[in-house]
Parts: sequence; C-alpha cells; structure tokens
Amino acid sequence: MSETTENEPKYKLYETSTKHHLKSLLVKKLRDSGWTNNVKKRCGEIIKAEGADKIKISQLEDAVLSYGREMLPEEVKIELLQQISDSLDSIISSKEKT
Amino acid sequence: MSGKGTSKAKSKARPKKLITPKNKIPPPPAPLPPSEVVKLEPKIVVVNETDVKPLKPAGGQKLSKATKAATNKKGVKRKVEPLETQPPAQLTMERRTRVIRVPKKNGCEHVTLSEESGCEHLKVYKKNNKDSYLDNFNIIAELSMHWYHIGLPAPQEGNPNGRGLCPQKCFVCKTREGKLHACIDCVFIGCHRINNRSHAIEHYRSEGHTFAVDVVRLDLFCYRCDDYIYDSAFRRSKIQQEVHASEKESNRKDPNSKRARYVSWVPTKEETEKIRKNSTLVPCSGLRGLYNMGATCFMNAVLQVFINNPIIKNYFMSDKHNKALCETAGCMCCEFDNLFQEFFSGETKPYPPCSFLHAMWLSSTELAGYNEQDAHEFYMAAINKMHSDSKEKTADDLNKIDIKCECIMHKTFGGLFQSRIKCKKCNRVSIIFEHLVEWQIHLRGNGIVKKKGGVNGGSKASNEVTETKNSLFDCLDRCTAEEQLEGYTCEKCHEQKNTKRISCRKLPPVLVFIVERFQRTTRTTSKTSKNEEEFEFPEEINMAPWTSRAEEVLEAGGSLDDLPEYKYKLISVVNHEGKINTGHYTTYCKNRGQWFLFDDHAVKLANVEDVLQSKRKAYLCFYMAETIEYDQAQEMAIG
Repeated sequence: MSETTENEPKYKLYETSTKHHLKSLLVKKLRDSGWTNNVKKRCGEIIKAEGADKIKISQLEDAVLSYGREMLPEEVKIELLQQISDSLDSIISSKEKT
Repeated sequence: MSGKGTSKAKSKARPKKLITPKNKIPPPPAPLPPSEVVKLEPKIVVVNETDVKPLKPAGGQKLSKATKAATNKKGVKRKVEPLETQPPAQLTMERRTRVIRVPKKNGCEHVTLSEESGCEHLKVYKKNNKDSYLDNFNIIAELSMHWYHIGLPAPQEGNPNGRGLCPQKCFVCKTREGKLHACIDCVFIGCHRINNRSHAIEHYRSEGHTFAVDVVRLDLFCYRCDDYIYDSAFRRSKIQQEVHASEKESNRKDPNSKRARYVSWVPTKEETEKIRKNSTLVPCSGLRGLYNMGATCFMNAVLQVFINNPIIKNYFMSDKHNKALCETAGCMCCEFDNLFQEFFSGETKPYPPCSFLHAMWLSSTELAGYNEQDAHEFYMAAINKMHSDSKEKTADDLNKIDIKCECIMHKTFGGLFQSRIKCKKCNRVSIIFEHLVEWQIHLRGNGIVKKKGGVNGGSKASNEVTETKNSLFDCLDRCTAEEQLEGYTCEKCHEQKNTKRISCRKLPPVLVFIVERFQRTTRTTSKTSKNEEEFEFPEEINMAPWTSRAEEVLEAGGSLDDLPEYKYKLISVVNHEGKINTGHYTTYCKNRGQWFLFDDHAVKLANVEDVLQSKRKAYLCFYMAETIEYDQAQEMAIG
C-alpha cells in the first residue's frame, strides 16, 4: 500500500486527534451495547472447542471476525459512520479555507 | 555472693566519658511481634501439578540458517545462534503458579504468574543466549512504555500523539494500523497481518529471527509456532517495566508533592563495574582488643564473649539500657552500655576497660584485686550483677530467680533443667526444676569424676588410660543417663532404690557448657589439678535428644525422629592455657560469620578449624540457637 502523505484526510484525521476520539467513541459504544461481552464469550467457546493449547491466534481471529461483523448493532454502525463523515467534512472544509 | 554495687564514697563516682563516639551507629529496630511482621517474600502456591496436553509440534518448517551477525538497538553487534530443526516434541508442562507482589500507586497488586516457559523454540533460544535473552526485550519494553503508555494525557487538538510520544510505523510500509511486531534480534518493526499482508512475517522468512514482540501489549510471538506464547520470564520483565514506568509517571504527574516517589534503580553492567572499582570497603566495627589491666585476662575473655553475642549486642544497641538515663550507682548495665559505645565508636585501637573493672571490683569483692581469677566465676558474677542492676528483672532475691525473669542475662542464658526422680518400687515420679545459666560437663578420664548427687567412684590411677571419649555428645549422654540415687527415700513407699534422670526442660537461646577441668588428685587431699583431657565439641549440635520432651518420648516408646530439631551453633569458646593457679585465657568468637581470636589486646582472624582444634584448652563453650522465637508462648515450648 502506498504511504500516507501529509495531505491525505486519513493523516489529517490522525493529526487532529479526531481518529483517537472516534476510536474511543466506538469502543465505548460497543461496550455499552454488549457487543464486547458477546465476542468475548464467542472467543471462549471457540477456544474450548479447539482446545486451549492447540488453537492459534490467527485461527481465533478469523473465526471471530465474521461473528463480530454479524453481531455489530446497526445503531452503532450508523452513528459512527455519521461521525466519520462529519469529521471528514470539517477537514475538507478547513482545507478549502486555507 | 554479689550484692548491689554500692559506692563507698558518698559522692557518685560516675566514670567520666572517655571517648565520644564519632559515628554513632543507629540502633537496629526492635523486633516486631509476629503478627505485625509483613511478609514480603513471594508466596509460591503449588496448584494441581497436572500434565498438560502436548503441544502441537511445529510441523516441519525448515529454517533458513541465520548466521549473520545482527545489531541490537544500541548498535552493539550480537550474534544470533541458529536454531536447529527440532523433532516434534511431546511436551508435558507442569503447571505451577507464582504470586508476586507488584507495588503500584495505591498499595499493591498480587499478580499470578504461571511458571510455564513458552514453546520449545524459546527454550533453545534461551539456552543459546543464556544471559542476554531478555536484554533486547527490556529495551523494547522500556521504549514501548515511552511510546504508548506513559507520559502525556489523551490526544488533543494540536497534540495528536498524546498518550505516549510516538506510535510506531512499519519500517516497510509506514503504516500505523493493526498490530506492529518488533523483532527482538535486530532493529526492525513490521506490521503484522493487516489486510492480508505482514511485513513482520516477511522479515522472519528472510532473516530467520524467530521471535518478535507486540509493541503495545508486549506479548511474545513465535513465528515457528505461529502464535503468541506465554513465558514467565518475559512476563515478569514486562511487569517490572510497567511498574518502573508508573513510578516515573507518578513522579512527573505530581510535581507539587513534597516527596518524590521512590523509583527503583538497577545498575547496568558498566555502572556496576564503576561502582566496584571506585568504592572502598568500610572497616568493620565492633572489634576491639581489651588491654590486660593486670591479670585481667579472665575478664577480657568473657567480656569479648558478651560483646560478640548477638542477643546482648542487640539489647544494648537498641538502647534498652541507656547509661545517661540510669541512676543506679555502679550499675553494670551502664558499664556494658559504655563498652558497646566504645566498641562501635569506629576506633580500632584496643580499649582499656578501667571503669568496668572498677565497677566489677565494687560489686564482686572476691574477684577484686590483681590476682588471677577464674573466668567461670567472673561469668557468674557478671550475670548476677547484671540481673541485680537490670530494670526488667522479676525477682530481687537471687535464690528465687525463675525462668520468667525478664532481665537480658537470664533471658539469654537461662535454661530450665529438671531432675526426675523415679521410685523403683511404686513408680512414683517427682520432678525438681532448677534454673541454671550453664550446663556443667564432666569429663571422664584421669582422676575422679564428680557426679551430681554425691561423690561416686574411687580414685583412678592417674596412669590408667581409658578409651572413653570426651566428646560433647558422650558427655551429654552420660549426664542425662539414668543413675542410681543414693541417700534418697521415696516419700510414698520409703523405698531406698530410686533413679534419677536429668534433662533440659527449656533450652536457653544461648547454651553455655562449662567443662569441669578442676579435679582433686585424690579423695583425701584437697589439692586440685587441671584436667587437660581433650574435649571434642562440634560446630553444630541438635539438642533434641537431651531435652525433657525427648525423655518422655523415649519412655513412651517413640523415636527421636519424631522430635523437632533444636539446632545450636557454636559462637564462642573460652580457652585456658596453663596450670590451675596460673595461666592465660583467650577467646574465639564468631563475629558476623567470621571467626576471630581475642587475646587481650590482640585480635586476629581465625579459622573454624583452629577453633575446633582447641580441645585441650576449651573451658567455656557457647552455643546459640539457630532460630530464636520472639513469642513468649512459643518460647516456653522449646524443650
């Protein structure tokens, strides 16, 4: 993948620390909605099924990824996407100003 | 024998302070009662040692030989040992856990560490890099704290980095996303499995560095197992770094606090070398000779024993008897306090114990003067005088001293001995207790052996050489053996035949053996001569067989193996050379693990072999218990 240059919005998100805020917001929302606990339980089940010493982290990650994506509550998705687009808008608009 | 030391002159003849102590050594803290002692050692909890299912063997991955020298973070070249291909191993791990106490900001936290040690690849790696396998990890961990965990508050406008100063990027693709792995064998950070690519894995394939560390979480990853592995050494190191970082952090966070929080410091190898090269050893204190003031070697010998005795030393060094506060005239405890001050003043020249001698003369007039005296008599006189002058004593009358006396001398040297008299006919048992500060040892050999309870045995020809050995064990056995008692009538059945057995009911913390070297040459004359038989004494002795409890156990048919061990170690020996009327006393004492020979003003290093070789000369032997109970109730249980 190409490097992120200074002007790309992605970097801007990081630089203005919005990315950090968005991430914290996401984590909080997921926890509040109970998603985190569900995924944890699912991890436990998978580990028990495979055997704690046989399972590898990569297997676990793959198995849980699809489950997590399924279980993601709609409201969280919607709200976060909204926030991201708002932030990007503000970045673009501030860029246009300068 | 000895009364309170009263000064003859009307005015208080308090001796002037001779030397002011230069470096007053702070007294050691008084011992805490057991309930208050905080246990700081890690508790090792053994949990279900079960066999864990064997690990999946790392399926036949051929490893490229990594023979290139690698550079670690500090630019020092480090050679990486090649890993041999391992046959699939059937591993069974014992599961043991260890609880360590991790000091954190508000008190402490108990962290349970499992003592597993990673995968077989890690074992090989550890073996190949025995002392240095944690070095790079420590550096990465420290940096990781700096990058991600400590320092600044949450990211804000204008300060996107915030928590931690610089989140890292993959060296190859410069991404900050996903997980980043830091190689522990060379300077490389690569992205790990982000969007189906992983530069860290490519690094492994090309360089062969099997292990990497997640930069944020500091988990150890093994590329051959393709999984994170748990290793207690690495985990412990991580915790140490976390603690260290939080210490530094709390110092930084609260600059107004009056006291900076303690940050632990471990010296690096260079610093250790520097310290070792540039430091000078402080000369030991507490060792001084005593000038012979005119045939006072008997006093000097016993004084050295008292001064090198840890219990008495602790008593005076913790200021339990302060001569500035004591108002008794001619108080011997004050004299001892003075002696300790002199000995720990930093002066190494010999000390003339004038004031002590003066006080001793006033109290024990029979020992006064410049005649040669007996060390044992002085020992007894000193104990009695110290008892009289002490504030903690429980009985004034010397005949009524019992085991509960709180004065330092009786607490240290006082033991309880019992004589058990048994009637042969009606089996009636009567027990007499005696509180003694010594144990008299009678040697068998030339001359008459005086037994307790009456003189027994005729005079032996002085040329007769008996095969009986005179080791401490034999003497104690003989002393505590059952013997016929003459001249005693059973109160119940008026039986004349009674047996008596001596044993020790309560062992004192310091056990003193007096070897009876006085003996009469014949029964009729009163001439005494010295018995120069060899007395063999050990460096260490278990006193269990001669305690009262042992006697009871043996009589009930049990074995000595059921008894607890009462281990005693030799700490001092007073030797006498010469004849009965004239001679010279010297002492061997153990001071902080090192033996010394004290010959009046001369203090020399000695070996323990020399000490044990003084068989013919040994007169007083001092043994100290290996463990000393502080709790009174437990104390009474000894013996």
